[in-house]
Amino acid sequence: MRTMTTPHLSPRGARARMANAARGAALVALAGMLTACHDLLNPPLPAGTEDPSTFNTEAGALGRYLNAIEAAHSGHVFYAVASGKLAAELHLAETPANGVVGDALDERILPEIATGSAPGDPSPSSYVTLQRVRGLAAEAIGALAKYAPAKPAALRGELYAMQGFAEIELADLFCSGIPLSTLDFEGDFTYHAGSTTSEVYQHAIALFDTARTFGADSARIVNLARVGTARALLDLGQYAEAAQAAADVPDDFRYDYFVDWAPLNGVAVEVPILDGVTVTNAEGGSGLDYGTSSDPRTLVHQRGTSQTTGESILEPAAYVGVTPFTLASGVEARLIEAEAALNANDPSWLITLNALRTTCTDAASCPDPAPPGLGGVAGLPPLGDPGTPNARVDLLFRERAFWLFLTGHRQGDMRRLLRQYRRPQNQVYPTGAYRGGLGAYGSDVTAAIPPAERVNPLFTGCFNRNP
Amino acid sequence: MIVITTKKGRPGPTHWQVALNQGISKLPGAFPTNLFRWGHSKFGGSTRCPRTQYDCIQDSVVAFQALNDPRYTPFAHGNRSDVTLSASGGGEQLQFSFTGSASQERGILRLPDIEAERFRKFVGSAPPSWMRRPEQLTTWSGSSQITAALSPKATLSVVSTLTSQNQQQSSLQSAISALEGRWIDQTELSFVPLIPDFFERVTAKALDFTTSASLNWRPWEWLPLTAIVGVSLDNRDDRALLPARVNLGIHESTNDTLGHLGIGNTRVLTRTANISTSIPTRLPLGMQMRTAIGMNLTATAATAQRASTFGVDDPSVFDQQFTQSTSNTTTLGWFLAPTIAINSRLYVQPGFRLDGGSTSGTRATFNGFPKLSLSWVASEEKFFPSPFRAVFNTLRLRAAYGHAGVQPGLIDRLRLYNQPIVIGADGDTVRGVVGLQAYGNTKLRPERSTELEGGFDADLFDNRISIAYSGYRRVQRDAIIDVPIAPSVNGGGTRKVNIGEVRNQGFDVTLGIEALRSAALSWRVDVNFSTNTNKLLKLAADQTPIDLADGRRIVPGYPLFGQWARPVVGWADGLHDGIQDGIIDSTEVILGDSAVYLGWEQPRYHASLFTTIGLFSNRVTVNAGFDYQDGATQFNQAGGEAFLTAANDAHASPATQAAVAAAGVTPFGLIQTVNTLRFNSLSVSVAMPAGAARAFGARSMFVTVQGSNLGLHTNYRGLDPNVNAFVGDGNVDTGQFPQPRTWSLGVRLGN
Repeated sequence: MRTMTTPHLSPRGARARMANAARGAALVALAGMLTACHDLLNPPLPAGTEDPSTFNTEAGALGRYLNAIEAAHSGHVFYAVASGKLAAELHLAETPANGVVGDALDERILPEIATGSAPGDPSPSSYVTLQRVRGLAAEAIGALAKYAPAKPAALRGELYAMQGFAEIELADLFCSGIPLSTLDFEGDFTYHAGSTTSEVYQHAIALFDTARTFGADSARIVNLARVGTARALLDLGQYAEAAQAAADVPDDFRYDYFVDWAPLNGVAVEVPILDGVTVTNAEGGSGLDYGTSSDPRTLVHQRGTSQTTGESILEPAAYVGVTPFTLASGVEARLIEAEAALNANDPSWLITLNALRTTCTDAASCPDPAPPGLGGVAGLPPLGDPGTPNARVDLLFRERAFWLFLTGHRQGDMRRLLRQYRRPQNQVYPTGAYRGGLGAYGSDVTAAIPPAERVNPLFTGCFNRNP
Repeated sequence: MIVITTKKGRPGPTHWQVALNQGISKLPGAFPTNLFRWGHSKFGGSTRCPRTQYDCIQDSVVAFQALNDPRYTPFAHGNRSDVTLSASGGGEQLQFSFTGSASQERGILRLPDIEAERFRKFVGSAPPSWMRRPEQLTTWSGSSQITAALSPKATLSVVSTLTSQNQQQSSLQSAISALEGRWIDQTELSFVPLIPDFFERVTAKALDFTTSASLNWRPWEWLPLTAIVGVSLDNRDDRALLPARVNLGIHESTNDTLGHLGIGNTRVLTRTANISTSIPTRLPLGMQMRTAIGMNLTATAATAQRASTFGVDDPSVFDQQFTQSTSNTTTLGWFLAPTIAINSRLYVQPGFRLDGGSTSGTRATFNGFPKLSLSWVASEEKFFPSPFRAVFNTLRLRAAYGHAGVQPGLIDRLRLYNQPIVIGADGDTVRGVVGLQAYGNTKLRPERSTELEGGFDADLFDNRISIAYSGYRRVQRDAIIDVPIAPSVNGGGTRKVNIGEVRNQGFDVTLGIEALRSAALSWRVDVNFSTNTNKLLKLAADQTPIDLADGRRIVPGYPLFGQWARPVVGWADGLHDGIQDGIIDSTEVILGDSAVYLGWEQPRYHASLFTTIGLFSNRVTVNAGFDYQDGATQFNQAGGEAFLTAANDAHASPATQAAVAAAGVTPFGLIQTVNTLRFNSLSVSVAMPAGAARAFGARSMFVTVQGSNLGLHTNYRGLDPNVNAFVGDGNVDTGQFPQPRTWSLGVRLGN
């Protein structure tokens, strides 16, 4: 039997050649298998990450609306508390350590710094919160328009109104130069340069206009937008226009929502929203007597006693437990009209103020307690004309302070007293010795925009720190 | 693992070892003293007032540092004990080793005496031991390795490890930042706590089990296969306990705590499978190619549970919440990388490496990036000059050039949402809320980089000296980094962007010298030196310079995340108030108009030295290690806060006062380029006489004294520049306490 061999290759060489071929084949096979495995796994997004497309539904749009509204409601409440400290409605309950700024808003020491955060300054939180309201509202507006067009347009109207109020509060508390950057729905975002205080109020007015358009079918949203417009116009010194905007707001209109004033935190301790502060009483020489006036609009009760000062710690009776917080109301509309009338030398300003207080027309014959007026609070007898222009302005602003106590209005009013009514700062803002801290009130009437905003290449800092 | 066999190849006696260690630790050095200015009111009265009070006239300066004061300091000695047992043995067919260890460690934190007194006053009993010394760590572990020769061509190895840790912590760690710059008023301490929230106890228990089996099989000579399968189970149990009825008079509005217990449990099961091989193939011209191929499959299943209950002592507010989440991921990765050996001295990796995976995207993509590596053992060439042969035992030259890339993750591009839990004012959960979780960046592009590396490895003078040098230059295009978003956009946040072209270059050299080599005395020194520079060459077209608002900036021509600040250019006593009192305060400091570059967060130079001395045939060995760093910038924020709360030294020069006083308006004076020389470690080990070992039933006995962090020489004005709140995000010292110094005594016995 003949042995079959490859003619020009020895058996040993043939084995080597076959081994080499086998190796090459193995390589190719492995490469092919790995190539196939390329498609073996096509997992979805990493675990724990929700596919964003699942929220592009009507339910997802409504969910974003709920989120924006919740952020706005809590943002307005916390703004009221923060601004209340600067505006002498609230004061630290305990004396801060000497030589350390305890609360920059309360002490009016709000320097503009380049990096980090000024010690004891809570205003950056307010800035972040209010800007977040703007962003979340924009996100929700876009989602409602695209994924829930059948839902009432008033939902979008309400969101525009929330943006407007957030911008009013930014302009009231912070210095001139606030950027109104935008979060673009289903896009990225757009940085904006700083806007002057006036420009921010004007932008808010435009938002309220849009709110009225979308909220045309909802009297609640339309009136909310009217009050917001009137408030912004008042801040611009356009009294007549403000009164006109507020004219159609019913006396009994209220946009309010319930607030739990002592929520439980993550470790089951009640942390009152008004924790660490007390209602003031004639703070810094120029403050109003919220605590001792016995005015039924600012009733307080003692929550405890300060361990460092021995003084009573007072909390507003209206903000205990779960109670409504009023963002806008017919009362505010009437107050705006009264101020417009006062600026026009129209004697109806006092009539309007008294109509809010009581149905009595004459103090002498008014029973005690005086029956409630349009404002719904008993025990407010009618006021008399103080006689001089400055005294009338004082009376009007006092009425505004008490009707709108701790609702985030007082800081804007105090800046207007300086800006529009040319009052000296030491007659409006608290001054003099400050117990603890750095020992004396500072001179700031606005909060600085936080240095974190410097990431915005168009931001150049506060234009000025004027009222 | 040691295999002991008899001359006939049979398994020898099992080798065992026991090691015992006992150590102590403490905080080295003292904290810098602050100066507080006090005075009296110009209106009269006997009450002392702080200088900063508007009506206060200074009359004294008081030096004080709470962290150095025994009444207030939260630091004490820590200690650690550990024991390790190991056994190994076997024969040619089967080898084994087992190791078990246990350790108990107590940290250096303690509840200050004055706080313990407050607790006793308000609660009526002494604080429990866990509150007095909150840092505790107990660890025990066991491991085993068994290797069996299944056949002449196959071996199987099984490795298993079981580790248990029980850790307790406390919020006392925040004490340093709260106390470092603070003046303590004794009268306040009766109702204001020195340190808040120390009565919350946090524990963490972790149990980790890992086992893997690896099979090495060579069915044919040219096909070595390695297969590894493994299972890993990690279980972690966290608890936070806030006792009920704890009211330390902290605040009049804080009720007695209701009591709270929070429990978190996480379990992660990971299964892996790897297979790899390296296939040689003959090529023409005498070349040989070796192709490395590998595949990895990883499956992870994670379960997380959270439960919390509060009001445990008051049923009227009792509430219980429970959440659970699970996730499962499976990833597949593989590679194919050939290496060509031109001859036994010259190797070429032709830069064809395919990587695939499914780690982050919905579809895996092939990232085929070219790469070329050369390695040449020049000392084995026939033409290698003879004079050099007498010097060089080995000289290898190497160079590499390659491209690489980073694909941005899918989640980095998309705007993501979540469903947060929102509680309404009525206490009920608001259903259906959709929150914004991440902004995303729709314009994010892949990052590509190019790297050139070269170097050499050499052994000289009978291998007494070894040198390794590597230089590199890497350029990233469209480098992907995280940048913050300004708060005017929805309150701010962060996202990834393509910042532009970034270059990193530097070199690394390692030198090993066996200076002395004899039975009586041996001495070896190993030194490493490296340097690296980073530079943003140019910004991407859609980017502008970024001020990160924390002192760092991204500016072309400078390192990424460099430190910038407005400089202090002058001072003028009485600049605003006209009062020249010899004290410079923040209103009297003059700043430059623009910020200037101060440095980078990474050290420019890094060197380490480790030396070993052996005496008497290494019966006594001494090891010492040193570390040097230079060029990193450090932001002493804690120092700044201390300066803001304390008065600066009125006797210091105006320049020093100005740097301190400016802390409130610019961090210029608080940012330093630091250099540090740290005496890292020292150990002395002595082999005891055989008789001493026999007394314990052993054949060998070593006694070792060891210390770590034994010395620090630095120009840093804070305490320790290498301990920071943020690492890689700017070196910021917010008041972390320095690394502790430890000493330990150990005994090791073996047969």
